Amino acid sequence: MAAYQIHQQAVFVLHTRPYTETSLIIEVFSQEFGRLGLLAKGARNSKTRKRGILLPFQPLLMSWTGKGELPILTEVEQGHSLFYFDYKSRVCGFYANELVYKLLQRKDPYQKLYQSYNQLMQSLHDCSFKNKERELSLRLFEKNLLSEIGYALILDRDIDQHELINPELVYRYIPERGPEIYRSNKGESPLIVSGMVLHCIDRNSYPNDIIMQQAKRFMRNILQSLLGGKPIHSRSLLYIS
Amino acid sequence: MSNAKAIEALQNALKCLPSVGPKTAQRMAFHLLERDRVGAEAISEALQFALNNIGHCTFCNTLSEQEICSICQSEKRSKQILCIVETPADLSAIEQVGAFEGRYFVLMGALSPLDGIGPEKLAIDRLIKCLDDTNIEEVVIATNLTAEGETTADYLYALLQDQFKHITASRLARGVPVGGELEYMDQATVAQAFRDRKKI
Repeated sequence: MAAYQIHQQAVFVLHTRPYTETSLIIEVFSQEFGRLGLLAKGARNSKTRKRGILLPFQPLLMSWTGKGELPILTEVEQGHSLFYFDYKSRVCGFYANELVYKLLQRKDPYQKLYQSYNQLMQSLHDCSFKNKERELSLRLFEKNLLSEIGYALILDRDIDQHELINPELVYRYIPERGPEIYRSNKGESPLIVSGMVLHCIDRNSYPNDIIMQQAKRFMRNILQSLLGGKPIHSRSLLYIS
Repeated sequence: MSNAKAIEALQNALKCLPSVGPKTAQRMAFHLLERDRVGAEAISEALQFALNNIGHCTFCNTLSEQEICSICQSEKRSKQILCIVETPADLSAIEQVGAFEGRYFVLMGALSPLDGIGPEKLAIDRLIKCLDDTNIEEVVIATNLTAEGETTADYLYALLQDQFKHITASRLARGVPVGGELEYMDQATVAQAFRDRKKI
């Protein structure tokens, strides 16, 4: 039987871990095949230049062979451009990688999400030292991620009356269903959110930092509810005095 | 423990070694029991001895038989300069070169969110204590040039800026390796070499 071969697939490395003396197991997010693991033989050998290429947050082109759980990487080269991240962008990049790694099943294709991830990496590169733009790109990626994995947010209408979201009202977001008008007798929830914030997430435009912060917290809580008990570690990477 | 259970327990124990799966563990276990019982005895004794006698140096946190390791005890070492590395293996790589004459601090890893390693899993509290208790004037951050190592370096730099402003911080240079030819170098290295070029 002919070997199964993939040529020059656009990918991003999510994570690498050492395997035997000189090899690496790399987890990648590929354009056509989604998340998958690859075995990079000899990638830690001092004579190879692969190690300098197999880095996260860089657009790469990879070729591999084999159909099993761990195909073998045959070639890798730098993709369309070289991204440079500052500290905060790198932490955001790790955050995106953590989400992709924990929320996507291996080998399910997510072509649209790949585009969105690619755009996020591009803007994290462009946004080095620009906090606001960076936050905007992250919110957009989180929204696209939720929609691509089948948990698209409902941001325009409430679920009880199907009426348009009113920026003046407060809603309680029920995961997998949508927002309902919040009444205090319905108890506490981490997903209580103002109509204004839902509006802003929908349009990906935030009039001020307070609403931006509230949107961030809301997205965090939604994603946390999908991850169950699994913590997101990237958040602790930023040093806060 | 019955015979079969003892062999199974040995195999399971061997699986904790890096890159040892069930097949290799089985081969190792049978080899030790069938052909090399003396070797097995030596492993068992050495392991027990190491576990009982090797701890962490109270100053630099590297693996050491003494309370303070030989490098930290040495009078020849400068007490004003500290090099922060990820692992004891990195420490010995720098030691072999002999280019550094200060003391070390070993973090025992790097920040890696996908492996679940946050700052609380590294020896950062001990590092803060070490910087508090001594008169260190300069810190060389010698974490690896991986995304994880770079993030660890950024974290440490932010910590130093916040709590130890008087300490000069530096990072290992990155760029063209000795004997390197630009034509054959990966793009990231060449780009980095340009970014970090220095006046001559």
